[in-house]
Amino acid sequence: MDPFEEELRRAPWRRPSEDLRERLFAEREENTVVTGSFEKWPVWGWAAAVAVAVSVTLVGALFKSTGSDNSRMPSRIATESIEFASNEGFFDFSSTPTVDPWAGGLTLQIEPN
Amino acid sequence: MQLTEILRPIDHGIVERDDPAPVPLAKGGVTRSERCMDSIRKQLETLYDVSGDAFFRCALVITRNAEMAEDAVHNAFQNAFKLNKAPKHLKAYLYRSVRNAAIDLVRKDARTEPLPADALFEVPPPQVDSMHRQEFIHDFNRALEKLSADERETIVQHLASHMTFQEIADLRKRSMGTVTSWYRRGIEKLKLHLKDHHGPV
Repeated sequence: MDPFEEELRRAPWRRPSEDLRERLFAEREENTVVTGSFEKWPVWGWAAAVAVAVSVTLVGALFKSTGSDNSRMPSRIATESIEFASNEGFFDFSSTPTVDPWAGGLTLQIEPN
Repeated sequence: MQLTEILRPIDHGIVERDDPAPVPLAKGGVTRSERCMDSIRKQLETLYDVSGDAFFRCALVITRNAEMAEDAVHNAFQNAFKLNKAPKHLKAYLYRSVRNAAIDLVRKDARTEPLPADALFEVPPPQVDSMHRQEFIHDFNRALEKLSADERETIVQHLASHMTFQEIADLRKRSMGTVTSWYRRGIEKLKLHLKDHHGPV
């Protein structure tokens, strides 16, 4: 390098301000990607969570489909059956009802003791 | 100097960016570990302590404005912090990133005024340095203005940022012959201009 270039090299080239370094490295926490424990799950953890969620959804859908409007049927049938039986004296043990289950209809004949 | 010369748009001659090669994400596309973050941060701190002035001057010769140059360095380092994995040649990556950031800032804020006298240099007060030297610095600054953008940038990168011609060629994606001819032509022009003002150099 000749003397002219040396003199140019020694010229007072401008330098950055003192706070640039602080700006660069003090803000690193704000600018790095936030990583929480949630994002640190391994792949198999995510797969298991998805499988559980899908299973719960399917089971819930299956349960709901077997119920729907018929979900109350068992209790409704039971209630109506009990009411019918009660009205027909099935639970009246003070007499001996005569019921012919094979009759066309349920005819209850109560013979007094 | 004619008014038209003063008000002519500054031709930076910079028409191309050179985006650094994309660094692939960590496997699985998940965010990097804290260990990797610390490693990158330490490397960047060390690199800044060693070459921070060089990065700044590399941006300054493009932006012509100290604040904008600092913003360019800041943007480049912030992007580097977001890397999932440190590039193989972090220094070269940062040079390219700083240069691209400076180009982007200039494009967003195109200026037409000429190069300020103290843009590239720190002019000491008269009682500290001789008037002759101050005049030399002032004329040197004005002489740089007369160079082409490539010549000016190459001279600043070699003399002020202490980059080798090979590093400059890699940064600018040019052959070493092209870079050295930019440099030599620029030096000859500077000698000619400064000789007119200060006698033989």
